[in-house]
Amino acid sequence: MQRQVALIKQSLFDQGYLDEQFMELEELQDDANPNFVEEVSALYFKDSARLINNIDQALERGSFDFNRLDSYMHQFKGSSTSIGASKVKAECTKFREYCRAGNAEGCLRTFHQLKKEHSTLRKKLEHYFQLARQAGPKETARRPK
Amino acid sequence: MLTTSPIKLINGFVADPSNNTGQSEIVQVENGGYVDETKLETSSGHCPESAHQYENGNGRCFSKESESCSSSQASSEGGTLEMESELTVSSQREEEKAETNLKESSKPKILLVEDNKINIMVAKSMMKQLGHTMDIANNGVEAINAINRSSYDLVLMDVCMPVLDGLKATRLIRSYEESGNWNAAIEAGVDKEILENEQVCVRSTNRLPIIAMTANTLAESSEECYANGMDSFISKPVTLQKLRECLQQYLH
Repeated sequence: MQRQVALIKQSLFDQGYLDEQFMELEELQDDANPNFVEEVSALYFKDSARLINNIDQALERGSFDFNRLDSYMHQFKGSSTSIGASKVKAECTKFREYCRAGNAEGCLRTFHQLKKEHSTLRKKLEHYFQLARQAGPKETARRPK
Repeated sequence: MLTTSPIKLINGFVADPSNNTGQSEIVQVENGGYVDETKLETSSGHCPESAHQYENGNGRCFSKESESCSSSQASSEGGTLEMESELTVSSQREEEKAETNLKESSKPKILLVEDNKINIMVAKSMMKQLGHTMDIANNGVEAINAINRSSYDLVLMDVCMPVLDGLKATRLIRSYEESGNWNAAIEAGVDKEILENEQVCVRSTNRLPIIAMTANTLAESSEECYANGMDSFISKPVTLQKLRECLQQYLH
């Protein structure tokens, strides 16, 4: 079971869903904060869902306020960077480039892709955390004492 | 748009869910202060809508659509946020302040100025691991009010924030250090009354170390940071090692 969890985690890194920042978060987990990564992750998905919603509404309105969109995406990219959500971060960067170029179609396309990556990561992390909990606390990386 | 009634900002911060140690981490409730929105410009232009949950000591929760930036689209949203909430926040803050002074007179006082909740959660946890607690401000105005109220040993300043960004806030803080007054800040739209009523009794003569936390884009380049009075910068994402080095260099 624990080996399975380790393999899942490794594949998330290998496939580029997560980068080394995620490991930084794992280093912060200890006896006092055994679920820190999961909690940060939960906050991230809650917060980013709100941003996605805001961006969806802004895009639906049809008028492309690139400044506003860029501003939302700045937040999104910031959070994604902080938890190591590598693919989502890359889409954020692309979106911002299209904003700066005033390219509405590019924004729409990229946003579609971003939502996919976001959703995929969410599912994968939920699965990972669930298994990690079942496997027991030894599995999640601990800070060396 | 009437200019007679300034927009009032009240910001608090809900204790973060990651703290399950049972110890009380000092989380400062910051008063955002009044902002005369006709004067205040946001140079960064980053003004996302966000809903903040606030909690004061009496357990009441407010939610408000934030952002007062100079663009009128966001202008009226925070305007009606209540007098009473400020009074209760103030009185609760007095108690917290007294408590804080007692507990923390020997420990370095660190201020984190950051608007992104995830970044705050991560930074606080890292600092905790390094043995420190931090006060939190969510924008440049709150940072100025906090610095006016207390003597800090170190400020970690996010560059891109709504209301008043980190570069501008730092310029205003340096002006205060040089001149001994907050005239520049008041001119920029920070509330005069709050600054004057809550001034710290003994102002430190040492230069306050202000460290930028930057995404390292053109707008947030290290040159920009230095030009605006920052002492150093940390590139995002913030890591334990970067914070550790920063503390080693700037906290004695």
